[in-house]
Amino acid sequence: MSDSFYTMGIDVGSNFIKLVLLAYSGKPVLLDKQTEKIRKRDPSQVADEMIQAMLSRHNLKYEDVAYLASTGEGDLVKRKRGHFYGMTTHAKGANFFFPDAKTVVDMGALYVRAVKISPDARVEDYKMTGQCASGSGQFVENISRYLGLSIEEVGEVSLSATAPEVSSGICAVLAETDVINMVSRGISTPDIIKGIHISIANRIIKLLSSLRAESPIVLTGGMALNKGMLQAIGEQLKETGKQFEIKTNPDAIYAGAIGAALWGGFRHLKLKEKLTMTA
Amino acid sequence: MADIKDAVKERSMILQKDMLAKQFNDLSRAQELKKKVVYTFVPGNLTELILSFDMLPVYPEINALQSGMRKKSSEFIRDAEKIGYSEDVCTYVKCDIGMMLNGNIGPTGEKLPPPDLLLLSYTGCFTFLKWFENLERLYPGVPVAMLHTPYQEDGKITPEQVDYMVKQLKEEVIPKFEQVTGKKFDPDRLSKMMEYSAQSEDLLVKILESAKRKPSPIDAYFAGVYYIGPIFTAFRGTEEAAQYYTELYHEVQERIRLGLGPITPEGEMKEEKFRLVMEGPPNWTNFREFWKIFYDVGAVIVASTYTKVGGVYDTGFRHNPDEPLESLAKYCMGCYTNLNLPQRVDLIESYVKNYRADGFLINSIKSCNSFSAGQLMIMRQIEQRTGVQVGFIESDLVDPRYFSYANIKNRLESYFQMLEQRKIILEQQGVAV
Amino acid sequence: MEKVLDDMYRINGIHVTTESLNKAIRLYNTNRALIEEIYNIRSEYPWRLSAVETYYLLRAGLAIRVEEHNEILEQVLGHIQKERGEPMDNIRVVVTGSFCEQPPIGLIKSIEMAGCYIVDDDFMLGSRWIIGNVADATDNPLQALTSAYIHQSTFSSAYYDVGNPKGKRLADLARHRAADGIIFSAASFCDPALLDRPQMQKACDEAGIPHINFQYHENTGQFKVIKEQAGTFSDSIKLWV
Repeated sequence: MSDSFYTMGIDVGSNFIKLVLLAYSGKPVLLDKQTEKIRKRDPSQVADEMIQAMLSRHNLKYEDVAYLASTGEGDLVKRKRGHFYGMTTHAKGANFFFPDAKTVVDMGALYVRAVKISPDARVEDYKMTGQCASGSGQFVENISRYLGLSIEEVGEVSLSATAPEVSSGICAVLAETDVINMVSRGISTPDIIKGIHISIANRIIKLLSSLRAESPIVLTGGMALNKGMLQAIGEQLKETGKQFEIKTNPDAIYAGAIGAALWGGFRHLKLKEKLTMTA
Repeated sequence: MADIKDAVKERSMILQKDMLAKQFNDLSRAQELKKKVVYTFVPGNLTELILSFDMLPVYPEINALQSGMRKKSSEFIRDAEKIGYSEDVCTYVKCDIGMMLNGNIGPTGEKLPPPDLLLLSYTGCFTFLKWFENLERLYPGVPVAMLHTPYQEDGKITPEQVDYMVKQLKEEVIPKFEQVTGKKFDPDRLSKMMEYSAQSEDLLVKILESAKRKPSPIDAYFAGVYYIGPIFTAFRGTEEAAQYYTELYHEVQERIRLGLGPITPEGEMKEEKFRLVMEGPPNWTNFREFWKIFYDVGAVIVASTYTKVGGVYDTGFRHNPDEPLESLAKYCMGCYTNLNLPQRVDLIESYVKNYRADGFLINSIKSCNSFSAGQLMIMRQIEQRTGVQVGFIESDLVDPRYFSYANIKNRLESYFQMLEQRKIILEQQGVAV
Repeated sequence: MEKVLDDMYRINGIHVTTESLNKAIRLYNTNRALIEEIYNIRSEYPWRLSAVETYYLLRAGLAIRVEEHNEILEQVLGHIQKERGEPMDNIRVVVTGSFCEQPPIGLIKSIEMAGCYIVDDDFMLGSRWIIGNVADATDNPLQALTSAYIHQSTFSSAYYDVGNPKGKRLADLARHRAADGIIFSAASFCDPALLDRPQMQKACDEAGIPHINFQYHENTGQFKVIKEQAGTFSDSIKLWV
């Protein structure tokens, strides 16, 4: 069939690069996905290698992909057809997971962003956490490294907290000092981690309230997979009496990449249509 | 320019108030009086020529500063920003446009008439040009007369420049005036007015120069802005203006005789402690508060550049009945903001020396490029050439968001402290002060 | 203008002749024609030469002799007449308001990286001020220059031209370049650009051309906000227009 084609979406974050491959034949299907930690390498190079590897896994050449779309720090991707802004792609990705999604919370490494979306995944309004990094994934990672945990363990560890200790949570620098204090006061690691999750959860809930967010709310980005984080959000919602319905998907970290690939497909069809119209 | 409320009123103040009241009343009844209305600007204005055609001038920047003093500017500026004007642009323009959006009610509460003519005779400020482009859009179809004033880039007025301006007056401005009013240009009437102009100008210079005395009988900035009112606006070249300046001159003479200090809104200043030269326009939204910071510590402004924006008269220029058009040309080119930076520095240096000032202070206006560009250089040069204490504060013309009282007061207080210390040191060194 | 010639003589002791002036006019006619040709090719194939490269190219012209600049421009023209680079799915924009204080390179780069091809702009406007050629074989080249300045200059907020509204001319330019949108990018505190903006935006609205605006400083170092604005602008045109 002539309208079956492939698209790729690549989401370059500050720590991870996420790549997906979609196959269109009527409805788009997620064919492949890959995450790669950048680890002080040249992100441009990492992205290139990831693309090549995924293409060869499927016996494809670059030219076989109708639209390679970047998002995030997309200028680091050398070869691409187009670029979409992060908010636009996360909206589309969330809509792909849950077509009834009304709000998206993108929990990235450097900030948290809450976006209100329309049924066709159009960005209607948004709110972002301020310049400060204390509400972000990077912060959680820094703290866990300090406490000798890997980022994958953090969520699990948080679940075993008994008396969480909430840090000031105003500023990353102050909060890190807080944590050092807690350690010297003998507070257990799970309780410290949980405390941090609680303070971030509160910031997210605040963000949602100021946006007048509507449910269902879809969490995307790296932190959306952190069980401890999800638990904290659930508990804090109960405590504040807010009636939000929160959803997440195991592929939440790929929301941006999937959104980019989907918008790429949309543009591919639109440009083709334009071409046939002018022909 | 505006009345000093709750303050001691001298006869000259009452005179000025009556003149302004009549002016705005005439404007509100322009149609009834069958007078044509021309919108134009203060620096480089052609008031005598306008009046010789029996037209009534409206000065948008005066309206803006009046709106500032009457606490209306904040709302006007907000309205202009709502329709797309940037936060950064000249606040006079935004205030004026906001006022027009709100029914064009003037400072006396009477409605201002729409213009029959837009006279763009601008001096030393490029924004005037843009301002009028905006006014033309607000009043489509209204004829525009444009007079281009060459900048004194080389620090002098050449005969070619005078010819160029006279040619524009003859070929562009006067024909437009004739067309709008249906009247013929009357050179004799213009010459007669220039006699009054020169008379007022002589008196104004004497009044401003009275501040050379120690102690000074006047404040040449905060009160100075009132003294320049009539001559900078609708009254230069009139008999009333000459009367006003005669009256004011006698009052100042009387103050000298009685040994009185400058008038402030709270009565006479008792002791003159610091003598300052001031560069830059004042802030209008908090004018009284701003003034009070000075008179409370006995700081008097003995000379200012702002009182020269509508004409520099103390270096000898007068309107000349024998060559009315040429003198209008020279007047326009000689206004303070049309001087180049070396000329400005020279003028300020002469003020610091001749008025025996202790310090030089700049009030830099956030949204006024034509005044503020180069001010730091001016400050450094004055410091080098005269050795007086220099100071720098920032505020705005009519946008209250940029007048931070606490900040300005802090800065001025430390500035005054430095002046005080310097005085002590100079006294110890046996230098007469 | 005679005064300028006198001033120049005082500096370098060179007497300008009719001949030498005509020769210089010719060289600059060529210079502008080459620049226009580059803009025309870029308008059709914007991926062949980035806006930043174009900017460097024009800016260099201010620092070297015009003869040398013409040679470089010709070389570049030779390169971009052939296919170079790969087209991207970007929107096409006209950037306006940066005619005086020059934008930082990072700003031009950010607009491009956010998915916008800049198909015309008013950076370096001075080098493109006169439209077409100035008469280069007259007995009075000063007259020719004056006349070109008055009758053949482009439009800009630095210019008073109520009879020939800038808003309309901007909209015409956008249509001529088949632009999807206009970016108003003015230096902070630039009264001319910022006071014209409301009127020009109105003209864009009337012509149905989408637009956004932002302000910059010559030494702006942070482009996150600008990238974000240009990026959402680009997305909104690509996905919803």
